[in-house]
Amino acid sequence: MKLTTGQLAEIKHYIEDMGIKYLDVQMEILDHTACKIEETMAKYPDWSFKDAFYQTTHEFGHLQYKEFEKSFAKTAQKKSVKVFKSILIEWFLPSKIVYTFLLTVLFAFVILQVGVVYATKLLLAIYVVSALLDLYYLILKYPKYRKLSTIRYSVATVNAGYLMLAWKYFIYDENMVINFYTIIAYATFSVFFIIAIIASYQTKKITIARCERLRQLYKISL
Amino acid sequence: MSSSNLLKGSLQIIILRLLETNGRMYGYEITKTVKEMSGGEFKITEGALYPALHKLEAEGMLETTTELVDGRARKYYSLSTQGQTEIKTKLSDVFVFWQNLQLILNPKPL
Repeated sequence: MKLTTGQLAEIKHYIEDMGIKYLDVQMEILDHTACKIEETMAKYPDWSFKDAFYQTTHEFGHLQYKEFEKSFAKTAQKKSVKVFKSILIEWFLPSKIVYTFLLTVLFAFVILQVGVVYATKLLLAIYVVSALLDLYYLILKYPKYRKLSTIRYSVATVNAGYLMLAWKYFIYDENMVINFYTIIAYATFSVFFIIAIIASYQTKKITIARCERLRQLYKISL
Repeated sequence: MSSSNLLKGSLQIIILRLLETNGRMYGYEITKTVKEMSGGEFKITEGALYPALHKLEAEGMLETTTELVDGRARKYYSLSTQGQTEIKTKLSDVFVFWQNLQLILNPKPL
């Protein structure tokens, strides 16, 4: 016996009332609970939906819902980092390494032409643009999708931020002697930093697309 | 130690083995299959199953797809390429462990 749309809506409201934040989790609990109710109603034909619903939720228990959500949050974070890393690594694989190399040469050329100080300013400008892009995501996209696991997508941005800090504090030195090797090191790190920003942006795009698909499946309006 | 504690320690390998045999499964289907296969002896609680599934997914052992079934979204789990490779190693580890455990629990008289 399959549950009606109204009965599914009732379960949905119950799960929401339990304080489950993420829709990904709500969706999985909804299916699990509905399966269990259907099975109970098939086993005890004289039971009403309410009886089976009470029995199922009683067995499930509030603590299990919370465990569920905690484990999901960890997964979402790891997933974001994994996507970010895989995009980053792509730039060093045979299919893209030529572009990475050309970009490094281009940066080395820019540093030679304008000097380290201006090259640094150029990188800072790139960082500001990427930060504005993050702001766009946080203000316009994040509130819409926060219940659909994007709560963790900013991890990728944080990674890019760390790279920026590492670059500023560990590599950049005003008294540094400029020679062939330091220029190559500068150019390489600059390119790595830019790739990290691109990967961060792509991670967000992938997560948003996934959220949009889930939203359509779960039939919720934003 | 109760059987539920023993089951908890073996949960990941059970999930991986079931997915290897059945291709793709959803959460409820896994609990039901384990219960049926063990003649009702093994009951996986939701609070143990889903964190285990999420952990395996985060480790890259499982892949997921979501489909609309009976008016609701259903998340299916299946082995990733990494999971397909690692299940073989994990299974052989378990068999070696069992053999060693048996040696300890049922020692041959000297």
